[in-house]
Amino acid sequence: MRILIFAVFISGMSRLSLWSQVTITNGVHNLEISGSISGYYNYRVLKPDATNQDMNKNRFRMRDAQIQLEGRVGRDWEYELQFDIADMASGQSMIDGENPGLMDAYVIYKGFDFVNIQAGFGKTPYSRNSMVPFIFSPYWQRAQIVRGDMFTRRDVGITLSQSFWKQRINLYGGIYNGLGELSLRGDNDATGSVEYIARADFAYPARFRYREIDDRHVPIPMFQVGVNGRYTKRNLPEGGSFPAFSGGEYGLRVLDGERYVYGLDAAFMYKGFSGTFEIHQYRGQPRLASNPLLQGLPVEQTNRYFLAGGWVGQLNYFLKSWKTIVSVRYEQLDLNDLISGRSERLSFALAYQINGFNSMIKFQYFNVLREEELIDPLRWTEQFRIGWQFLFK
Amino acid sequence: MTWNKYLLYISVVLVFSAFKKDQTPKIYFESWISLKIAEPSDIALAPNGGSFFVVSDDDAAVHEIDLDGKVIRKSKTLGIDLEAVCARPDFLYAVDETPRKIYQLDYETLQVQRTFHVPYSGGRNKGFESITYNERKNCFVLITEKDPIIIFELDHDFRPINEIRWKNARDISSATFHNGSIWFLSDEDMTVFQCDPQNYEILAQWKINVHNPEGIVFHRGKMLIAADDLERLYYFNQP
Repeated sequence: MRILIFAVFISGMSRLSLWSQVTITNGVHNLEISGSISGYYNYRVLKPDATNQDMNKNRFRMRDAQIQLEGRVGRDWEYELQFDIADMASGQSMIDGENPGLMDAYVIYKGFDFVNIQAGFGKTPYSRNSMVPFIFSPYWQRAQIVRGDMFTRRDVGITLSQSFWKQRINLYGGIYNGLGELSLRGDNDATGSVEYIARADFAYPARFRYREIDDRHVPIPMFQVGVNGRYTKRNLPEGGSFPAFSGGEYGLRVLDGERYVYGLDAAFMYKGFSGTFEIHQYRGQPRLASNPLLQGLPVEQTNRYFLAGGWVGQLNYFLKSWKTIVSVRYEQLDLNDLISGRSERLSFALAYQINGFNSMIKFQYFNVLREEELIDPLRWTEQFRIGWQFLFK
Repeated sequence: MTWNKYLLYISVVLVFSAFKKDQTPKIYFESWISLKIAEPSDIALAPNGGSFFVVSDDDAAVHEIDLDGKVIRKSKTLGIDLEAVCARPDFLYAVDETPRKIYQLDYETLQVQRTFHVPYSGGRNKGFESITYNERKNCFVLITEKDPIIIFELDHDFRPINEIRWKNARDISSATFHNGSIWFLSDEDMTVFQCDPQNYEILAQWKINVHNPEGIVFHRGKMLIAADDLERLYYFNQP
């Protein structure tokens, strides 16, 4: 009943198809002001035998109340400041890697022919799925592996980038603090180390924007493949420690030791059909054999490293005449190869576009097919989420 | 309780039911040529009919090409983001979308003679994407790309004299006046519209099989479409 009332409410409200995006210009400096509001109702099906029967996740949630300022000064300078007031107001100590309070604060210099330089806080060039703006997704949540719990999605640092061959080839390289959103708190951790990230992607027969839905029904088959990697070595000195919450939900985002993460991704679009596939492998080599991520196993068994990773595949179709996106997603995640088990999830999304992506009703169904009981036990099996995304675009 | 199979059924029914035939007639290109211009965003026929002018949002310059697509000359960088071009007998006009400027260029030198500013507060990349001259009403026409599509009629000094909200496409990426009609091109809908120049009502429309079409022009019984991402010029029989 609550879902029905909410659906009626948002379908009524969504008739307000406003375009509130505003640009101010003096002829050289152009500033665009935009933003978004989105919220949903969430309902979880709990395991009947779960010890914890807390139903606190059955609720309305304001996901986004974002303001975005995008500026351009002449041909050479661009900047962006984007923040989410809903997240800032939540007062949570742990930063949500998928949806942080400050989302972007950077400047780009495009004055050189051979490279663009971006400095500040923003998305790192790792994982195609992570680089697709959330507003272009029919889902309410990204796949587990790219939500920011395995690796950081944003950080403070410098990114160099360049495109070649009519923007079909894109290259990125950057150096960052390695603490993700926690870099905004000022100091680095006790190691004083940095993280290096690089990415290359190739599209054919034309440039392929970081999107997952073919809302144009492109008349030619298009595809893109990408490869990316990241490396950091953070050996804590005696008595040193990482900042609170820096490890994220699974304790993997920072590691006392050496860490490599590498991944491949692919995407295609053709006549309304589109699909994405992405795989990541995480190799952690803790400095100490006693690191809990090695699960207390003997060195002979672990060789002082562990692996984590998984993959996600998604298929979509845009029903142009019905202005509706239908999508299905399957994902696998193994949080540690030293412990048996992995999680598997199946999600389904349906999104009705009242005014393109600017005003969209989104429904997502989650089904936990399998869970990693020892590392990440869950008390729910299914989840429903329906809400409205409204952009001032 | 599992919802998987129900949701799967719904998806299959939705997808299959969406394959109903689109009533808009389709036309197919006969040939295409590659343009040696990065991100061509609009095209116009020179008044003498002997060449085309193409604007690029990559180098923000106007390029003159011969009828085979070979670049003859180009202007210096004019602004930030050139998205539209219109060739009148006396001057050439190029639209700089981001700063909302229209440059009046001399044909001899391709240098700017005058700059007009037409304020528009919509999205930075959703400003004026099309320009043409409405010969029926003797006024310039500037059209915003999307969200919303607004047709501005302007006098010869680019002072707005009328505006019309147009709701028949998701976007408009180019416009031209030909054979007594105004022709609009939609990139996202991949559709060409023939419209009445008096009130911009649609007279006819055709789907085209071109990815990312951004420029439209007519020449010797052909309709030419410039495609931005693929940097090509497609030739159609005039519908």
